[in-house]
Parts: sequence; C-alpha cells; structure tokens
Amino acid sequence: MPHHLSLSALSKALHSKKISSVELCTHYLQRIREATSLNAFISIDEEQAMLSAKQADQRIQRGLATPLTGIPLAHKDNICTRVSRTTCGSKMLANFTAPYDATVVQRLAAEGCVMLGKTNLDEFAMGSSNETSFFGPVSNPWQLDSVPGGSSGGSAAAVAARLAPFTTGSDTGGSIRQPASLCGVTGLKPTYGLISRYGLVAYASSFDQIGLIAPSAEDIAFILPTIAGFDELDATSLSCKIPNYMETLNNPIRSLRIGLPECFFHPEVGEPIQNAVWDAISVLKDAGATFVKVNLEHYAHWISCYYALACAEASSNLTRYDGIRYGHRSNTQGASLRDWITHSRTEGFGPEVKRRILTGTYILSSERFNTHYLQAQKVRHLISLELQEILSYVDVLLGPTTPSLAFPIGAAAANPLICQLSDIFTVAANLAGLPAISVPIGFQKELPIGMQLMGSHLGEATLLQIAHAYQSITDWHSKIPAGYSSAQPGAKS
Amino acid sequence: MTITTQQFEHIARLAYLDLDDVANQIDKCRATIENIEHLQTIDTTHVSPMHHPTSVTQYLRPDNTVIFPNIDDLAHSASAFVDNMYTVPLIIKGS
Repeated sequence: MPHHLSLSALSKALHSKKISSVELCTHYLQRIREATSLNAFISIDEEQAMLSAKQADQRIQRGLATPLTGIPLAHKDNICTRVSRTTCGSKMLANFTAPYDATVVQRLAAEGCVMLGKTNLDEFAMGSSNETSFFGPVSNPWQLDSVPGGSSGGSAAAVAARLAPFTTGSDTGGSIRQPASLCGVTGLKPTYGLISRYGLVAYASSFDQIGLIAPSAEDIAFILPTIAGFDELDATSLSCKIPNYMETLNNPIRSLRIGLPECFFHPEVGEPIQNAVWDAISVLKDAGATFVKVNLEHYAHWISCYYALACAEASSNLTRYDGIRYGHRSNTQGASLRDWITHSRTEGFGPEVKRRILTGTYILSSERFNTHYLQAQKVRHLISLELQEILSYVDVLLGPTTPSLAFPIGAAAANPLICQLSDIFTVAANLAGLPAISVPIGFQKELPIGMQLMGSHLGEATLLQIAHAYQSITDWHSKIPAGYSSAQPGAKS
Repeated sequence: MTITTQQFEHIARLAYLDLDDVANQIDKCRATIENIEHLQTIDTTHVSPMHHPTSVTQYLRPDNTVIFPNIDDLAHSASAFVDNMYTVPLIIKGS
C-alpha cells in the first residue's frame, strides 16, 4: 500500500510508472475523507489536487519529472496559498485567500508536488495542543481523546495517520517538534533562515521557522533541499550552500559527540519518557556515538524568556488585523473607528491569541520596555551564547522532546501550564535560531514518545544523520496507529 | 510588581480589544507576566540585547512603484471593495 512507502520509494514507483500521481492522490484523498473525525484538515481541494496530479503524470510521461514530481503533501494552514484559503485556524481569517503563494509552496509546486489540502493548527500557531483552533480540536490518531500537540497538530496527525506522505509545519517554540513527538512522527525545525518565511503568516518573526513533518528522517532529507535556500523575498533568509542531505545520511556516527544536559532528566519528566530516552541513548552508543554530560546554566529561564519575546512580537505582528482590508469585519460599528476596529478584533480573535496580545502589549509598553522586553532580549543572548559554546565541543544535544505524553483533550483548559511546560525543551532552539529534530523512540500506554536532537547553526545534515542511524536500527518511526494502517482508515488493522 | 487592573484596562485599549470581553484574562496574563519578571534577577551587565538569531541583512528592492498584479485576489478577501478601493462605513463620532 502506497502509504507504507518512504518518499524515495514513492518517487521510484512514480518514475517507473508502477503507480500514477492520479492514483496516489486518489488514494490519499480517500484516506482523508475516511478520517475526517481526526479534524486534521481545514481545507481540502480535491479538484485542484487531481488537476495537479494529472499535470504531474504528464510531466513524468514527457521525461521532465524531478524526484518529487507527483508526490502529494499538505501545508499547514498558516502558509499562504493562492488556490486555497489560509485561515491560520482563526475566525479572523476564516474567509481569507492569499493573493500569492508562499515561497515554500511555490518551490514544492515547481517540482510537481501535489497539494492535497491545508492542515489544522492552533489559532495563529499559538498553542501546544491544537485546541485553540477556531475550526475545532484535532484528535491524536494514537488515542482519539488525546491532543496531537501543537501548533502543527493537524500536520503531525495527518502524517501519523498516513493521510499525506509529508506535511509542512511552522515552529516558533516547538510547534513542529512537540506535535511530532506526541504523534510518533519525525519533525524538523531547521536553522532560522534556512527556509524562506515569505508567505508564512507571522506570529513571532524572530522565532518563526517553516519545517517538515514526515514518518522518517530519510523522508525529510529527501525533501529539504527543495525548500531550503536563499530567497530575496525574505529579509532573514540565509545565503548558504544547501547540501545534498541524502548523500550524508548513511555516514557512520562513530566520530560524533552527543551532549546530555542533566536538566533534561529532572524528576518532572515522566519515568517512561526517561526510560525511552535512555534506551535510545544505548542504541546510539552501540552505533558508536560518544556521550558527554553538559550543564545548561540558563535552562530555568528558557520558557520565561521565550514567552516574553514571543508575546511581544505577536502583539506587534497581529496589530495588522483591523478588519478594514481583510479579515473579520464586525457588523457592530460603534461611535468611532477605534470602536469598530476593537469590535472586529474582539470578535475575530480567540482567548489564547488575546491573552498573548495583551501580555505582549504590556511588555512593550513604555514603562516596561527596558525592564521586561530588553532584559528578555539580553537573557536570550546569554542563552544563545551558552548553547553556541556547548555546541562547539559536542555535535548535538539530546533529550526528550516533551516532559509528558499527549494529554486528554480539554485538560489544558483547566491548567494552561500543561501547554507552556510541554515546550520546555523545545524553545531553546528557537531562541538561538538552531536546528532541532524530534524522532519517535517508543510508546507508553499506546502513546508515542519523542527524542529531541538539537544541533549547531546549519547542522541539519548531522541531525538527519543521527536520526537516520537511529531509525535504521529501530522501527518506531514506521509504526502506524491501529485503524490507519490498512487501506481504509477507520478499519482495524 | 505586577499588572494592576488599571494597567490592564490601558493595555486592552492599546491592543484594540474590548475590556469587558478580556477582563477575565487578567489572572492568566498576570501569572505569565510574573514568570517573565523573574528574568530581572539575572545579571545582564555588559550583555547586549539579541534582537534576532542571525545578523539580519535587509534585502531591499529598488524603490520603484510596482503595480500589484493580482488586484482581483485582494478584492476576493476584502469585506468591501469598490473600484479598486477598500470601503468602510461612514462613522461620525458622537452621532
């Protein structure tokens, strides 16, 4: 069945004409239709997908195909597309269709990839459970009454249930890695600037980064060169040579040094998670990697620093939503333009977004700017310097991706700290702009556990190499939730 | 030091959010802000603020007027769009 194949195997099947892109898209669209209870998708455009698939097949017939031609994917719904609305999971943009494609959308379409639809997310990517979406929560395919994580919850759930061979996501504080961990799939947050953010709806611009979610590190290595690389439309885009990640994937990890921060193994981290990480460490040790204990002095400040700056940037970025040019417009006018804009924003944003805007506005207010905002930026510098220093003598840092397993839908409403703490290990990569990957390493009570590897600036090749070495020995990444393995999702496999 | 009710009202106004709607958020905002205020205990003497993870170079296009090619697409997502212009209701303060 095609949804059991790796991306390189799918590519070979398409190029050898064992399967057509139309057949492949029909297969995935059928799976999406039969798995609507997951609520992983906000928009599905079958007509457009089939048209793109036919064009991909023609391209293959003419011998003009590239390795990605004909492969379906889904984009997170905060990445702009001209052919489909981009809602950001918000009432504010429920009817918004972008007048342009994001660079990542353009690059994948140019290769002949076929977009199946747009995936659900926490509103404006603010959340860690996918419960803040205006379009309703997403279910975790491993346990339907549990969250898939967030904010790229729809993208991770779609890959876990094999509703798409791969998806795009965005990661501001862990929004790719945390849901990848909770859904048992592989998720890469690249170095800040490696992938163009042009067309990614801004949440916190100095943290936001587009990345990929797929079953395996090999799948990610297969796609990454297509979407990585300089883009003059993104002022923060890095001008650097993009390696062929597939070429270095099988390099031995014997010479690599892996740092183990002791703070990642504190008692609040669930025992099953700690055990799974230690098992993974044993696997990598047997493969030849060397482990070194490291100390992260500023670890306790990561979350506070992240929330201070991300909320500040969010309050600034979301000022643009006034209901005048696009976005939700209130029918209640009031006595002034201010009243009207206030009504539009109050009706258009959900509670989590409002909370972050209010917190950020406070931090940016003239009385708090130096004591809160600038101080947080200085602490960010300290955190970044510490990570750079440690990553000068170890190749990567390793630990759990999250301190706990997927929690029940509704639990975060009673205790918002659950969500904030679930990002406790992931935010540092965003603070420092470093790449990090989450890899599935086991299960507890049928819920997946993930391991995070954080690398040095532009160290994606090393991350993918270690992740692939681990996945060559283990098979956690190839597990598919019961009910989604067979041809028809919903049928018990 | 934490956010007072009076400050919260001011912040809601600055953020263009209706105070009655967001009033129940004050405790959650206060909890987040109190956590953030712990950062003030860290010695950052001689540390410069980090605005961005990379040294950003602004790639500026030539300063020429460019006609946006997809005007119809802009109209599609606008609440009201007439003759290539966004339209808003006439609002006279105090009327």
